[in-house]
Amino acid sequence: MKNRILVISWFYPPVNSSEGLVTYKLLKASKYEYDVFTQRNNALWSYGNKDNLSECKNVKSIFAKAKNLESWTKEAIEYYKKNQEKYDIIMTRSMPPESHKIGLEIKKINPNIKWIASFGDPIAENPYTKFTITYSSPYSIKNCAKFRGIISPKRIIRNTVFKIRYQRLHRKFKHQDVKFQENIINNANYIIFNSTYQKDYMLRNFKEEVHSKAIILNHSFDKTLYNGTSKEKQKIEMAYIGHLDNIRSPYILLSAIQELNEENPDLADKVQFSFYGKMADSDKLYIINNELTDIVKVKKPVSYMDSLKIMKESDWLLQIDANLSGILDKNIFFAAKLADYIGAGSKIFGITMLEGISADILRKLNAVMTSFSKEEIKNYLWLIIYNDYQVKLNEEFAKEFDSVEVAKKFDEMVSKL
Amino acid sequence: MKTLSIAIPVYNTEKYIRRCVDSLILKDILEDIEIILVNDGSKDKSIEILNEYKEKYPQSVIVIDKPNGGHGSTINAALGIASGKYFRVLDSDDWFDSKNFITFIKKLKNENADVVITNYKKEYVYNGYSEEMNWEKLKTDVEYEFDKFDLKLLGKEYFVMANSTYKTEILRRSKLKLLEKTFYVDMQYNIIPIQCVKTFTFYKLDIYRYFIGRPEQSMNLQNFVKNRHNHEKVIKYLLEYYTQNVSAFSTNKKEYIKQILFYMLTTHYYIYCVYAKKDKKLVYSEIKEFDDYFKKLNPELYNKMDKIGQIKCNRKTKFMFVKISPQLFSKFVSLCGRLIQRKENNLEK
Repeated sequence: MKNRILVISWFYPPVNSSEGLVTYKLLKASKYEYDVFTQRNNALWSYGNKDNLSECKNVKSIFAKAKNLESWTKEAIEYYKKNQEKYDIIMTRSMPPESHKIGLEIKKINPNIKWIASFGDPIAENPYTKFTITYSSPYSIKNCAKFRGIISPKRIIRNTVFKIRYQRLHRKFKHQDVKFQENIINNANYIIFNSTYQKDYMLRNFKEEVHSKAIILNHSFDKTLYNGTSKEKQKIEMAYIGHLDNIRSPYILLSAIQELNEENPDLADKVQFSFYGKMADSDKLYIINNELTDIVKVKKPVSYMDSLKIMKESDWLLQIDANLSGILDKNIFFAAKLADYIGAGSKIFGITMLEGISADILRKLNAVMTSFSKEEIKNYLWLIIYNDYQVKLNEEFAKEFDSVEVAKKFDEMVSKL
Repeated sequence: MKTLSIAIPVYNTEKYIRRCVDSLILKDILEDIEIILVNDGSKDKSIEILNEYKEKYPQSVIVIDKPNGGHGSTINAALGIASGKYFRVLDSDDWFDSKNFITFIKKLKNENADVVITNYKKEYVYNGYSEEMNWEKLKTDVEYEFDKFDLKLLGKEYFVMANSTYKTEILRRSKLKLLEKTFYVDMQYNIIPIQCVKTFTFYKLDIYRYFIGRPEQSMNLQNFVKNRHNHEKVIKYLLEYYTQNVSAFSTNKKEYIKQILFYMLTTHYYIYCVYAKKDKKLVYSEIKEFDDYFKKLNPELYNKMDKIGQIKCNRKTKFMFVKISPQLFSKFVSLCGRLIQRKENNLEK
């Protein structure tokens, strides 16, 4: 094996996206040396690039000049062509999936190269995006102002044609994604998933031999990055850090808080919920309309290092997953922040599907795990706020998410290549 | 003496048991309750969790670890050792609303009615929907005499595990012994103790949270079909119980029990109509055998079932299994109920 491994990842510090940080923590704790081909011009979908995360002695970043994915892809392939003698192992990390596209190209250039494909979310048939795929036909009955328009045969035909075209296009893109993902899985030497649930979902149509290429690597925390300590406070502080939207929505939690507030007029004196990051307007409106602003604070997104500090200083950390019931029976999404929550050592209050990776982790950790039931959430909140409910985290289990432990497993895999 | 013993049957519910027990560990009332956790031969790590609670709260938590014998066997075991004045059952995947439960125990301390009933909620946790199961017509904190009160106050509802708290003494005096290794024994629990109940009261408190984790769990028709022999076993047990004891029941008790049996029997015939789609011959012999047994055992009740169109039709057509959609069927049953009621009212007049 040559000295250095080439890692291709659009996100990597100083751009502190969740994807980049997962890679950063893993490489930092690994015994191998890496060149990371990345970029620092585009900080979209990230905590920003203000943090100065400690340099890793074993990692050298190579920053592309590109500002968009297309030119970044070209630049990465060019980089490899010029430097191919330096590497016999590459690792590509999604999202975005373009890094795997580069992996496929490199594999074409050099079929003998060992390729580790590390997945974030599934590329094809991502259950999360199934919620977002909707179409709005300009010829839809909703857009008709007059009765004549409603009954117009011309409109009906146009609307039908639009629908058929849209569905055909959607099928085409879906087919492309499936083929692309299949290509990655078939050509990579190792495939990294973050949970068995994700692996089972993404490899459900593959033969057993493909399954043997899969390795499960937990998202991890880096205990050297945390600062701040838990302080004595007048109120219980419960914090959520990260992105929320209409699918991963805090609505059920907010409605539980609202009901609790109605039943317990002193609630605002006892507890404060802070949400750091984006939240759907409808949920913000819910907070205002229900006069919860004394109890629930929506705050600006914070940098990664600040988020770790908040995690350490909060009494309870809130984990909210999307409710994918009806699409999936089991949650396959392992939010990277959950690993950081575990590293902070604060108590965790999770709202997730009954089965899946988050539920498994929260249960084994002895954290509070509730389903999407307002009554269940409300009851646990009441127990915490008014009955001094405590949990003792399973420290032995928490160690499984320490980047040092996760990197050991990763290094073992690399040593076999 | 503890105010309340809570029996919690546990079978392979390591994922849910904490939620259940946590909802009862309440500093204000912990010394007033006795939590009897009955591990029914679980194959998962439930027993480790139960022992953890026992170790932490030895004054209030009792663990019974026994070989698998079914839901009924766990309640029998708990009832055998219960020392609380009152007794109620909480399934290990369900939970109590803690705040309301504290109020409930504080009131229960001064209570003397044989049964205390409360409201409950069904929690459809997969979609976040919550269904309130409330007693609309009953007055709160009034002690009703079971033999004299107006049955109409109950509407179509009756006392079930999720809404009733019995005096332990009443359950023991009724010689309640639930069938073992059998499903649907909750129907026994709903009927047998009634013979000894003299008074009941209603607290307008919403305590029990009935957990429905999967969409198919609420319908449960396939489970009914799969376990139809269990359903038949329980029905036969209860029909025999009713037939043997009917002369000793007051009018109210007779009507009340008959109403529950009516519901059970309707369900039972309906199960066969659903199952008939699959295996007509087998189903025919099974339901025919049951129908003959029923006719012989209690002709009066048997004939009364003819008032349900679906049953009458199937009997007349030698169980050709007339299929009616569940929604239509339920509307039909409700219409029949109203017609029967009207007919009876006219007769009374």
